[in-house]
Amino acid sequence: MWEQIRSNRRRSAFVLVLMALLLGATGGALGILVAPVGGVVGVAVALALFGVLWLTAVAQGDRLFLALAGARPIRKQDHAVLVNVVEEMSIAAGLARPPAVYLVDDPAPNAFATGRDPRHAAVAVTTGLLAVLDRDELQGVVAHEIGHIKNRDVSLIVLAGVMVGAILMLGELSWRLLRVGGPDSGTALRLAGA
Amino acid sequence: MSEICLSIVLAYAAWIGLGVLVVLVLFFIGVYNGLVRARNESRNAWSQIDVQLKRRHDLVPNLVETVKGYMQHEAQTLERVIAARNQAVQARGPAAQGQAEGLLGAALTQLFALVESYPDLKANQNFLGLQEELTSTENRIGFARQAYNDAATTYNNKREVFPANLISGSFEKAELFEIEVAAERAVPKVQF
Repeated sequence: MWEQIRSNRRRSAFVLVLMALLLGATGGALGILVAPVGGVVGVAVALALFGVLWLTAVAQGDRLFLALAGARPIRKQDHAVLVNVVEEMSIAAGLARPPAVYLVDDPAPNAFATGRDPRHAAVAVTTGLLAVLDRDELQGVVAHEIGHIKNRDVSLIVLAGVMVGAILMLGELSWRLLRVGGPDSGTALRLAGA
Repeated sequence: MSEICLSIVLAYAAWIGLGVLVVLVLFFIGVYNGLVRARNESRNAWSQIDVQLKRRHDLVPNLVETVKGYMQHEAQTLERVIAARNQAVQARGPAAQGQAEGLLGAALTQLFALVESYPDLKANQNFLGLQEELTSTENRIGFARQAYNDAATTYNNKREVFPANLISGSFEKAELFEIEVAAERAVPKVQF
């Protein structure tokens, strides 16, 4: 099992490096399209865009995500079984402290974990999930979510998502620049210079 | 001419020797700190078990108090639970503690089996709350023991592998938690 985890980590790192190269290449290609010598500027713009998006996601991402899902924080007296199960699974995983527990008013059974690292993590489950699962089954679902927290899967997904977002934004930007600035207008050059 | 060559070779050898020494020292520091970290983590995991056992000791009097009014005919069982609980609180050392906790667990299992024949009690909100807390506490104890065994195994692996075993003489081996009461290991017998 540990071998598998190690090889998965290596693959994740490989994919991320590949994606970072793609982001840089997209920026560079865009810069060159706008102006023949703009390659370096393009790469810098791509990295800056990524940096801003990533810092925002790390600082605000989990709260934004929980708010979007309509999750509200609960305490022991609101749902003793859920809070107990989360604490039990945190002990089993050897987390320094259990994640915050959130409830989503939604009849569809679902659960997710969020947070940039185990110290700032949260687990959210829907009321529908609590309705259909007994204690042992709930324990299984929560164990899965705690596994995401312990493995820091969320920060990996955020990093990958932000890179894809940055590449998409660059694509959009270049498409607009090239459309506005036709071969004979020079708008694109002026935009790039501004 | 050959003297110059020799002095250059000696200078290179000195630098290489120094580099090897620095790498060895850094490696030694890394291994040593890794051992210290793993040992502290395993000790912390052990103390987490005590935290959960304390939780169980605190819950039992509440449980007995709630159940007493309903279960007048089971005074003997209740007394056994209280006695096992008090013994567990006083137990010192892993072996004595393990045995006392095993007996307390067995007494509680017997109590909850008897609760099945008291429908009024099973509908009591206070009792249901306590039952959930006790279920959770049993789980916590089990998972804390599992987490301790994981941490202890990680630490033992670190101190026994080569070349860490050359310097880990002062790091004592961590004992794994094992069931002390033979009856606890046996599969419970169910009779209808």
